[in-house]
Amino acid sequence: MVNQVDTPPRTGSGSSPRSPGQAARQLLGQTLTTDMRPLAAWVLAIAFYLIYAALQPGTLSVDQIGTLASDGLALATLALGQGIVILTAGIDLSVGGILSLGTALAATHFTHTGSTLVWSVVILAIGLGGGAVNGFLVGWLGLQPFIVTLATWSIFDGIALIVLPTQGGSVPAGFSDWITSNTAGLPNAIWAFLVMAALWLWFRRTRLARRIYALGSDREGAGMAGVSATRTLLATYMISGLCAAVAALFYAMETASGDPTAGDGLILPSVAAVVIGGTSLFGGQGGFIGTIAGVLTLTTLGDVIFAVNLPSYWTVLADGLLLILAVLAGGGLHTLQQRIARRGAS
Amino acid sequence: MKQVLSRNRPVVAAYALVLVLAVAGEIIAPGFLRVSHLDQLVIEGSFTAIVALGQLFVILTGGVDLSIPWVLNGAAVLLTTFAHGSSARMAWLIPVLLAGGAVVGLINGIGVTVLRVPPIIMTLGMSTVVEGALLLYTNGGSGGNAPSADVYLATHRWGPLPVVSLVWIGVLVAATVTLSATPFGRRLYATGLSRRVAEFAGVSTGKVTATVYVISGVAAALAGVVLAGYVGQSYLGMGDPYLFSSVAAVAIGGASILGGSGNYVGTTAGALVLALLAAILPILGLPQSALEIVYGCVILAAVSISSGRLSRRRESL
Repeated sequence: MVNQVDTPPRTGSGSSPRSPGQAARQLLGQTLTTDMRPLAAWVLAIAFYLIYAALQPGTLSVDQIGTLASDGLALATLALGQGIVILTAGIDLSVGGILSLGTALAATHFTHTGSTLVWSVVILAIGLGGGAVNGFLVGWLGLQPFIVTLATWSIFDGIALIVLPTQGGSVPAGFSDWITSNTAGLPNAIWAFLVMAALWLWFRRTRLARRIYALGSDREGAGMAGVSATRTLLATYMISGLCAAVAALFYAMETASGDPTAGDGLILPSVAAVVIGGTSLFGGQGGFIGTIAGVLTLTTLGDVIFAVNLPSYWTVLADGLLLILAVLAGGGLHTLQQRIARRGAS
Repeated sequence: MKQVLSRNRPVVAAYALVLVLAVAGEIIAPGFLRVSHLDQLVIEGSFTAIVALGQLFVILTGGVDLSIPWVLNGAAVLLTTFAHGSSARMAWLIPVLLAGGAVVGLINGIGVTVLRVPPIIMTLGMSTVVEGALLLYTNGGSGGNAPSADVYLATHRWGPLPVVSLVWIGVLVAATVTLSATPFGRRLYATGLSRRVAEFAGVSTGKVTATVYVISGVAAALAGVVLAGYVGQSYLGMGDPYLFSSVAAVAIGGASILGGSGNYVGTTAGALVLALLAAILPILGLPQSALEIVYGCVILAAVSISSGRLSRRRESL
C-alpha cells in the first residue's frame, strides 16, 4: 500500500518520571486511539438504526434485527478477512473476484450435481488457494498488495464469467433457507454474527494474531523480534481468501442465485466497513468488533435510504463518501491523539 | 544507441513481445496481419492506450487510479445523452466532459495530497461516488446513441490510417515530450523515485501528485468520448475492463509499480500487446472473459519480473 503519511514519531522512549497530570493526559491520548474509533463506530451504527426505527415503526424486534443481520452477513464475512489484511497495512481487492466466482460456482453446481457439500468445500478450497497465491506474491516476492490482488481479482472475475456468463442459476431451497431460519429462538444470521465475533475474540489471542498486529505496526521491529513476515502474510491472505469464499456461500444463500459480477460492488463496502469500524489503514490498530459496527452502519444506511423513499442508487454514492469521510475522521482522531500524547510527553 | 537500448530493456522487451504476438497471430490465422485487421487492432488498442496515459502518470508517482472506469463511463453516458445525436453539440460537449474528468481528478489529487488519503482508497471511493451519481442520473438505464461525428472519430479510416490512431499518436508525442523534455516530467520522476529527496531539491511534490490525477481524469474522459463513438452508444459498465487493461498496459510497458521509472513509449507497446492478445484469444476458441484472466496474469508476470530486476540491481550496488 502506498503510504504517504510519515510514520509517527516514537513517544515515550527515554522518558523521565512524569507528573500525574501528564500521565493522565497520556492515558487520555491512548484511550483516544485504542478505544474511541470502534466505540464511535458503534454509536454511529446504533444512531443509524434508531433513525431507521423511527422512520419505520415496528422495526425494533428480533426478527427485524435478524433481517438486518442476514442482509449484512456476506459483507461482514468479507470484512472480517479484509480487516485482518488491513491490520498488516495491506489491502485485498481479490475478495471481490473470489466472491463472484464462489456464487457463480454455487449457482451452477449445487443443484446440477446434487452435492451442495462437496461443492461448498471446493469453493472454500478455491478461496484458500487464491489467498495463498496472494500471500505468496506479497510475502515471498515482496510485491505490493494492491497490485497483486488487483491482478488476482481480474483473474477470478474472468473465471467467474466463464463459469456463469450472466446473472442466473439457482441454489437448492434447503441451502438458501438456512439464512432465514431460526435456531433456538434466534435467527441463524444472528448466530452467524455471534460465531464470527467469538472466533475473532479467540483469534485475537493466538500467536498468529499477535504477529499480524506486530507486523502491521512496525515491520522492521517485528522482523527483529523474530516474526516471519512471509509466513504471517501467507496466513493473513489465506484467511482473507477463505472469508471471501464463506461470504460467497452466504451471498448465494441470500440471493438464491448466482451473479458473476456480484463481488465487484462489495470490495469498497468491505474496506469501508473496516475503516468505519476504526481499523487503521496503516496497519496494527483495530479489530473485527468495530468492523461489525461498520457493517451494520452500511447495511442500515441502505434501509434508511429505502425508508425515506430515495432511489436505492444513493446507497452506492453514500458508501463511497462514507469511506472517504471515515478515513478522514480516523486520521483526524489519530492526529488529535498524537498531539495530546506529545503534549503529555513533553 | 547501445546505452539507450540497455537502459530501456523492458521497453525493448515489450516491443519484441508485440512482434512475437503479431507473427504468432499470422501463423495461427493467415491474414491476421492484413492492413484492415491491423487497423482494427489499432482502433481497439487506442482506448486502452488513452486511459493508460493517465494510469502511467499516476503510477509514476507511486499511486494508482481506480476511478478510471467510471470517469470513462460518465463521459460516454453524458456525451450520448446531451448530444442527442447532434454532432454540432460535440464542439462544446467534449471540452466540458474533459473539464469534468479534470474536476474528478482534482478531487482525487486533493484527497491524496492535502487530505493524505492513500491513493487506492481515495480513487476507490471516488469511483463509487461517480458510479452512484451516474446510476442516479440515468436511473440505472443506458444513455443514447453516439452522434455521427463521434462514430467517425472512432471508426473512420483515412486510407489505411484510422482517425483515432492520430489521437493515439498525439497522446504519444505529448506524453513523451512532457515526460522527457519538460521540468514537470523531471519533477514527476523525482517525486516517484523519492518524495523526500524531491522535496529537499525544491520540488513541490503535492502539486505534481495532484496534477497527475487531473491528467488521468482528462484521459479517462477522452477515452469515454472515443469509446462511445466506437460502440455507437453508451451503457453502464462499459468502463469496467479499463481498470485492469490500463494497469496491465503500464506494467507490460516496463514502468515500475513503485513509481519513478517508466515511459509512455513502453505503455504504447503494452496497449498493442493487449490488443493483439484480445484478437488472438477468440481465434484459439477462448471466450472474451478469458481476456480478464490474461490481464491478471500479465500484470503479475510483469511486476514479478520487474521486482526481480529491481532486487538484482540493488544487490549489484
